[in-house]
Amino acid sequence: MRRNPINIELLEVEEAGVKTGCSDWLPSREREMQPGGFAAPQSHEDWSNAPAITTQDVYRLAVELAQMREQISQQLTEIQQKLSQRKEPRWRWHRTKPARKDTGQRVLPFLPTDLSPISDAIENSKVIFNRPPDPSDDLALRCSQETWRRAIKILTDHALSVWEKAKTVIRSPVISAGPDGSVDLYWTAEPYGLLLNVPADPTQPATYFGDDATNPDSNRTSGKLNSSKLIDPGVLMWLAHTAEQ
Amino acid sequence: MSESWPIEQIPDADRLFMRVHRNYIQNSQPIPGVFQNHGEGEQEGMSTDWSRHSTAAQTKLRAVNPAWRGGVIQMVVRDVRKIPRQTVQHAPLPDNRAHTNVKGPKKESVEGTQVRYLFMSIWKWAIEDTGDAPATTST
Repeated sequence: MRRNPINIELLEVEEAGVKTGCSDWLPSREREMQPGGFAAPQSHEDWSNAPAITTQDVYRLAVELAQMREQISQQLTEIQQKLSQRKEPRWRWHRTKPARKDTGQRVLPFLPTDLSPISDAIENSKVIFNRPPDPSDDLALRCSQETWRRAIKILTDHALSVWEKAKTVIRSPVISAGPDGSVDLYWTAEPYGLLLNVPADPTQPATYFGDDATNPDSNRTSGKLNSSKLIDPGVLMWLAHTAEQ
Repeated sequence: MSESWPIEQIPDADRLFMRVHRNYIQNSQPIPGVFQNHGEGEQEGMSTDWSRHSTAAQTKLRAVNPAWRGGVIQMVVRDVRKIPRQTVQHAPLPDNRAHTNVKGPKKESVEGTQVRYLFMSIWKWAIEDTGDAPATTST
């Protein structure tokens, strides 16, 4: 008996002991799940031709998943051990080092080695909150470590996003103190450029502006970063433009 | 402040000089933060020197602190005036006829960020920072 298994009209309900439709549907005793999975009725030729998921398959997948989980767990343990011994693990992830072991200093995110120019720029930028007083410096641009951290988080979030989405490394920005204790991130990659300013007041949004020097009037980007979102699409797109080719 | 020198109109083709301290030079370029206003009231603005009455070397020598180290950048007045809400006003001081203020907002909001970004696209070195040498008139 040939029957279309997905024809809704044929799927009738058994009520009050009266069996209707699906006459080849097995009795409940035979429908019980067997170690080898549900027995496929021989009369369902279409079904028997299609690959069926059996309980053996489920068991096998579960075992594989457990093995994978165990492997990942072991690898993570190895990484943690190597990091604690200040040795780089096999696939060389680069960790940015805090300038000082200040109490409560949050750990900066791990960056792949491919993003080491970004890590270096971050490391070198610590001078903007560590700079000793200089009487000859009449501008005295300074920022707090907290503002610097917020700027670095914006930078690393966007650098990692571009890296994960496109395996592209964004150019390293100039990280510098801006007006009123703010922090500037400035990128140039002719003809594109972008300036992103992170204000000292954490309740105020970071602002950015960038353009294409070959067409500055019509090809530009600007706006405020939404603090509830890690990534700003406008900034992301412009940073992709500045990426190393 | 400006009785001794007349206030003049500055032509578009002239240049403005500005000192940049060594602390604010990265990758051989000034950081965007150097483009900011100083002073208050009538004298509030970004201090520069007008090329008609000053050379870049003289601008460098005007650093108050003898330990000052850095370079001098130049900007064409026409380019400065193209930046939104920026005006160029000759504001001579008794000891500096060339003194000129670039007025207009340079911080806060998207506009401030845009203004500093655009300043970053128009400057050129008049005198580059030359390492450890003190401020001189040799260049």
